[in-house]
Amino acid sequence: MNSKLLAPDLSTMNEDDILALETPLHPAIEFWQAFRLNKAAMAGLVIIVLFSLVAIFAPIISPYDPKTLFEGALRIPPFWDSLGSSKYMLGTDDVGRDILSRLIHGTSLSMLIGASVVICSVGIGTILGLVSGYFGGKIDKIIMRFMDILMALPSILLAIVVVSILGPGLGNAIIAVSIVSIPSVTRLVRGSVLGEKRRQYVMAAKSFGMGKWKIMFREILPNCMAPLIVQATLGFSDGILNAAALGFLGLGAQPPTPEWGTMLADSRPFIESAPWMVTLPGLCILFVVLGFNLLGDGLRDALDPKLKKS
Amino acid sequence: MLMLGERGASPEVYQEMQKNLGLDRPLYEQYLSFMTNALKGNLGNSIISKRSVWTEFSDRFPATLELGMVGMAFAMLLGIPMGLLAAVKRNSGFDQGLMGLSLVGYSMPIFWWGLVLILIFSVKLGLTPVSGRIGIMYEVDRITGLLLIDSWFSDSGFEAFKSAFKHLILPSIAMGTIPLAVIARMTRSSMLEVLNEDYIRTAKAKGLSRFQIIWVHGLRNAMVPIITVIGLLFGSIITGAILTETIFSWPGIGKWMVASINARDYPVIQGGVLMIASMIVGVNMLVDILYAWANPRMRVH
Repeated sequence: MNSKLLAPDLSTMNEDDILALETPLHPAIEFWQAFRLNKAAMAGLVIIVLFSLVAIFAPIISPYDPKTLFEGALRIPPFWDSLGSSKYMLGTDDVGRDILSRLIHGTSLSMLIGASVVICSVGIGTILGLVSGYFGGKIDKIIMRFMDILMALPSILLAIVVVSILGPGLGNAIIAVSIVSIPSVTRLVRGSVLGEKRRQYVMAAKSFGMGKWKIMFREILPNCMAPLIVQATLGFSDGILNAAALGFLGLGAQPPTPEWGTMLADSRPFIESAPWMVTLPGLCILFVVLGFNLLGDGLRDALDPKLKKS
Repeated sequence: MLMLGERGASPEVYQEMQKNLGLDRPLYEQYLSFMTNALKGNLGNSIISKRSVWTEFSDRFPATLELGMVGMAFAMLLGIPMGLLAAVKRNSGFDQGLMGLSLVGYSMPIFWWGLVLILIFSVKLGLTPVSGRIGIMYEVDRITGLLLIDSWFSDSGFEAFKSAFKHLILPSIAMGTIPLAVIARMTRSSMLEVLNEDYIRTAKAKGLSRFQIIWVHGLRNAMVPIITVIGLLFGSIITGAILTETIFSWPGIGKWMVASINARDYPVIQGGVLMIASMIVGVNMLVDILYAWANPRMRVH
């Protein structure tokens, strides 16, 4: 550590400098300064912003309708292939649909899936975690044992079981994947609440006569936000990955929905004759998931120095 | 009931079926009888094959076990040395490259990765078979259920072993990729922590060789978190098995579960899920015991 940093020479500083030393930076600015230096996290952010833009403007930028069948244009390779055509930039699939358009619409679908999964699982998981951690006792035991049961099954298997009960389909796949993601959020929030609830600000709030629920949501929750934001980011990638896996197994979005996992499953018989049908949707999944994982790691480092990995 | 098709069944047949399957009794009674039977080791019979769920499970389990063990061996044999090297050469090009790659591996949709492996090694290069456990020309008697062992006792001996091994390569790489990424990262961070400890400094001061310091003093102490992570990876192996077995037509429990769900074979789904969950709980307990053995400080808690 630089000794100048520890003990600034006050005699040579003017008033403004001293004031600047005393007022801590706004947390958001402090966070951004730490985050900006992390190249990997910035790369993740760029990937996600790009995919989000594609998702939002999908109807405008996609050249064709994702479900239109072009007769006489079956399995045309992408433009870099000698047989490819610039009419269908990334080629067409086995029934003559434009793959680029399907991938673009698949992006909005995947982002929507990720967002729904995160909203559901973080919403429910946070409430359960707050209740479990704050009240303790029997409620805590019941909730946590239930979470243990959910965690005893691998995520995909549990999602498959839920889908097998509810029936296949995109909506049910989202519900299944959300249920699978709840326990990790609950555990995380409960852990933070247990640490926070003995703090003095909670005692102070109690002594003012503030209601329990108000203490939980207004006082404790904001102090648990850092790990929760990280978890939500990582939950996005898990949600997209698991929903795509369900689609691949034929239990998620049903054809002809342009969902990446479903597209992959459709492409399997054509792995020899039309390999681009296999590679392209998978690359999209990989990039989005990688983007969220990079961002999540960077957020963890910037938001929570305690968790910083060496 | 959905399996009876569009026309449905006549009311008599319907009631007969309900009675046979025990669906006419109240829900709690069905649950109780399922639980008592399960505790006696009877998980019921598959609706499709009429065989007991337990036999079906034990028929397929060795295939998954073999795939899982080879996949984990691949992940550990590659992941631990790579993580170690990355920790020793901290912040070098190798370290950064490896950490970048491991994040890619961690984000990998394995159902796509398996297809890409098939595309490269089977379709383009023609090196490995696309699906199954062993070439159809080999007849292997079932002894342990693990083909790598059983194949030696078959008539074709080494040839059969070679075929079984070739069939295992791609699925185990596909399945081992995520564990490989996790193990490499965990080894690196655990090793970095250990290398800062006083006993490493002491070992250096004693003039021990670099090799001894890293592989004997370092790795042994870094093993505890690695063992824990390997145990916790068990769940993701099952997830991997479900997807990998579907891609490679591997006749294990993962493919069995997916097939039963598509066929709505509920006794199989129930029994299979119960078996898998108990295995995971069992493995977690085993990890706790191993943990206490590797780290005496933990025994107090």
